[in-house]
Formats: sequence, structure tokens, C-alpha cells
Amino acid sequence: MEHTKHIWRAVLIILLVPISYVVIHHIAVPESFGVYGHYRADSVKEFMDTPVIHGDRESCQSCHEKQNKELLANKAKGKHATVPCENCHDAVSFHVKPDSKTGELVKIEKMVIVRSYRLCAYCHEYLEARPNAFPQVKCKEHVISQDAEFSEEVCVKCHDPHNPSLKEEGKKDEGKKDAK
Amino acid sequence: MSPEIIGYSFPNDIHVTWSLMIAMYPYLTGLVAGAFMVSALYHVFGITALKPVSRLSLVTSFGFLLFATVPLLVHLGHPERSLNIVFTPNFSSAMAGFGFIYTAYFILVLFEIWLIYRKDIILLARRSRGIKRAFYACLALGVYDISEPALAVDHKTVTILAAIGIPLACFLHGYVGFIFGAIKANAWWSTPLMPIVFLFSAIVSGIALLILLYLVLMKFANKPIEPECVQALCQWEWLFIIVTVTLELLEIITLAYERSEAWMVIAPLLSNQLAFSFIGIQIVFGSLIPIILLGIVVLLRSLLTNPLRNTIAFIAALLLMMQVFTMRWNIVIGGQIFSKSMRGFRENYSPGLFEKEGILVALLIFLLPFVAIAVFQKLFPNLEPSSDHAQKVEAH
Repeated sequence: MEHTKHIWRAVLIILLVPISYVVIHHIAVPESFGVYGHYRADSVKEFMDTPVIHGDRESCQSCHEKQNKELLANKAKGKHATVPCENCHDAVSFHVKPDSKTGELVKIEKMVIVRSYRLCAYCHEYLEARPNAFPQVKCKEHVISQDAEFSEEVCVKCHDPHNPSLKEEGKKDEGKKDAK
Repeated sequence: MSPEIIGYSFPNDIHVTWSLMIAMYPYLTGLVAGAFMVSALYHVFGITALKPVSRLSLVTSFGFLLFATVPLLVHLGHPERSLNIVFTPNFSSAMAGFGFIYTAYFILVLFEIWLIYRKDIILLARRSRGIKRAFYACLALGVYDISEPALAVDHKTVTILAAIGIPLACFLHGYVGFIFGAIKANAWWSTPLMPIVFLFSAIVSGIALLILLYLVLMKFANKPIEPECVQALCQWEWLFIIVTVTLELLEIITLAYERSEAWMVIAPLLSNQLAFSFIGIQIVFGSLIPIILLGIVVLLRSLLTNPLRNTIAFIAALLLMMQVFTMRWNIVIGGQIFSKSMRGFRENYSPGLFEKEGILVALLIFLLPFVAIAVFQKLFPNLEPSSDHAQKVEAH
């Protein structure tokens, strides 16, 4: 074992690596880690405590059933019947909040209405990955093939976002004219 | 499908999320493993012709090891969270092994370099004064024993470390290949051959880098280039590139012959989207030409003059460095530009010059290991094993 002093010193230094690993692991890994699975169990409660910002269809309908009866009936007939309002509009909690005394919903902000083709394209721009049965177009080519000019709000000129089947013929022509 | 998720989860493979940085990572770790293999050829397998690059190969491996993770950190939105994989590894993912394999390999290479340079460090400590002396004395761990038996112990330990290092280096890089090869959802990646192809191409890139570094460093230092060393590097490089290309082609030929549903998307992928980078660069320009060039060096050895051999080796090595990079690119990017539904392709990916994960950043990251090697050379001036110590420790 003579002449191996330097080797042992190096080995001691190397041993510091696993030792510091254990120490850092002990200090840095939260106590609740691994209680339920490979995550921090406390995070479950933290997530539960975060405020809910989205609602469901009923949250919107509680007011709009009366205010926009026709619009909702039209939506229920169309292909977007099952698309939740918040998919295209904003989260309900940015629009209304419950009154602190009565608990009734009070409007705090005007609801966002996006008319840009980009929102439509998110689901309907042509992609090989989408099943063929799903309605999809190459937006720009589609508009040009309809003899219309491309603009930011071009989709809603022919399609009602709440019931996207083509608007009545007269209105469709109007849309083309507008688009031009 | 419940109505709530229409529009959010579908389609879910629009973007190429693994960018140029993810292609850089296997490239850099490949150079780490490849350079180490050259040092192992000398230290373990006794290929004495490689003695002039025995130190350089280890230092190169270490230099690239220092920065191998940088592309991944640049890619991450929260690089600080990378430590989570080290301290709370989830072993249901292959990624969990990273911290352990990387750390073990890091320690091993550092220990081996330290033993090889120990006498140099001690001599530098004796020659220096002040802070410099303290620095080298610290590195010597306060032991100034450079007697014959101590150097014999060093040599024995180096051989053992190099022998352990071979499977470790194979693990380090094979596991990168495994991460791709074990993704069953991706037909272009999912093959047990992937770790082996990665490993062999890593060795190709490592040897190529050493040929380039050795020729350039000797030229700049005005030192003689050992023809035996260049010849040996070329011979090993020839062997490994032939095996690598065979494996790469075997993989494609198997897919083509089986004509499974995956081939319906991989065939157009190779002939359209990847036509230039796969057929043009990886196979023809990066493999066929270097195989011919290195074949000339190996088979027509007696007809070559030293400068001609060096020039051919330099060109072949440059092409092979490019070949291995395009192989990484074709795997990483190629696997993402077709839809997992096998219905077709996404838009092709090309990195921007100045973006966060762009070409300039990639070039900078690639240059960092060379800066590390230069700093190392400044601190410990003997990259060539010419000292007595080196001969004693390394010449077995």
C-alpha cells in the first residue's frame, strides 16, 4: 500500500460526491415528495387552492339563456353545438364574478369576441394529421377559391361561428361582396 | 372524445418541439464517447501508434463532457428544473439514468486525466511560486510522490479506469440512442439498433475530431506529425465508418423490405423531406466519399507521402464530422416532421440564425469545448505525452 497516498486522497474527494448528493437530497427534496406518487403531495392541495377561472356551459347559460335565446338555439342546431363557449371566448371568471352579498353573477368585463381567421384556423386549417371527416381547409386557398379577398375577419363573413354551416345564399353573396 | 377537449388536444403534433439543440446533444455526447474510445484503444488495447493522441483524446473527451448538457439547458424553458431529474429521478423514464451515468463518467475521466497529468502537475508546482504554486499544489492533493512505484500505481489505475470507462462511455452514449430507440410511437426512432448506431457513429465522430485536432495542433505548434499515428487513426476510422454505414443502411433496408405501415411514411420522408440531408450528405457526401478516401489511405499506404496522407485524412475527417451531425439531425428532426398518425408531413423545420435555439447559439456551444481544451493546454502544457512520466505511465 506504499506510494498510494495520492490515490486514497483522490478517492476520498470522489466519495464527497455521493455524500453531498445524500445531503442535498435530504435538504432540497420536499418532505411530501413521493407520498402518493412521483410528485410533491403538497402540490395537490396547492392546485386545489388555486382559483377556478373556467366555468361550464351552464355558467354561461344561467344568464344568456334569457339574453341570447335565439343565438343559443342556433348554436344547439349546428356543428359547434358541443363546442364550449370558452373555447372561442374568454374564461367566464374574467367576464363575471359572484356578488359578495347575494351570490348572483355580476358582469365585470365585456366578453372577448375574436373574429380573426386565426382562431378558426386553430381547428380547421388543413393538416394531414386530422381525420378526413373533420372539416378542414387551407384557409387562404379556400377564400381565394370562393372568389373573395383574404382579410383578418374573412371566415365570419360566410360562416356564423355559432352555427358554422354556410349562411343563407343571399348572405353568403353579401359576405363575398364585403370580402371583396 | 368528450366535447371539452375538442380543439385543445387535437391535433397534438403540429410543431417540431425538439429543435437543433436536441440534435446538438447526441452530437456532443457522441464526441465525448468517441474521443474516450481512442484513449481506451491506447491504454487498454495497447495500440501504441495512438500514443501521440492519448492525452489529447482524454482532454477532448473531458472538454466536450463539460459542455455536453448545455444544448439541453438552452432548450429548456426552466433550466434550473433540470436538477429535478438528478435528485428525484423517476426510473420509469430512461432519462432518469442521466444524472448517474453522466456523473460517474465525469468522475472517471477527471480521475484518469489527473493521474496521467499528476507528474506534470507536481513539476509545475515545484517550478511555480505564489498563487500558481498553491493552485498546482492543491491539484496535486499535497502529495509530491513521483517515485517509480508511485508512477507504476498511477499506470495500473489508469488502465483499470480506462477499462471501466469503455462500458461507461458506451452507456453514456448508448443510452442517448436508447432514449430515441425506445419510443415505440415513432416508427423512425423505434428500433433496438438505435443505441448501437449511435455508439458506432459516436466513435466515428470522436476519431474524426481527433484527426482534425491532432493535425491542426501539430501544425500550429510547428511539431512533427507522427505518420504512424495518422495512419492508425485512419485505419480505425475506416473500420468504424464502414460498420456505422452498414448498420444505418441495414436499418433502412429492413424497413423497406418489410414494407410495414411505417414504410409508407418513411419512404417519402427519406426521398423528399430528408433527401438532401440523408441521401445527399449522410450517405453519399459524408459516408461514401470518406470511405473511398480512407480506403486509399489504408490500402495504398506505401504509395502515399506524409503530406498527402494528412490532407486526405483531414478532408475525410471533416466530411465525417459533418456526416455524424447530419445523422443526428436526420434522426431528431426527421422523426418529428411526419405526423404520428402516419397520414403525412408537417412543415419542414429550419432553425433561424439568431434565435434562442438557432444556428449561432449552436455554433457557440460547439466552440466552447475547444476553448476548454485551450485553457487546459495553457494550464498543463503537455498535450503530447513526451515527458518521462508520460512514457512511464502511458507506455505500456
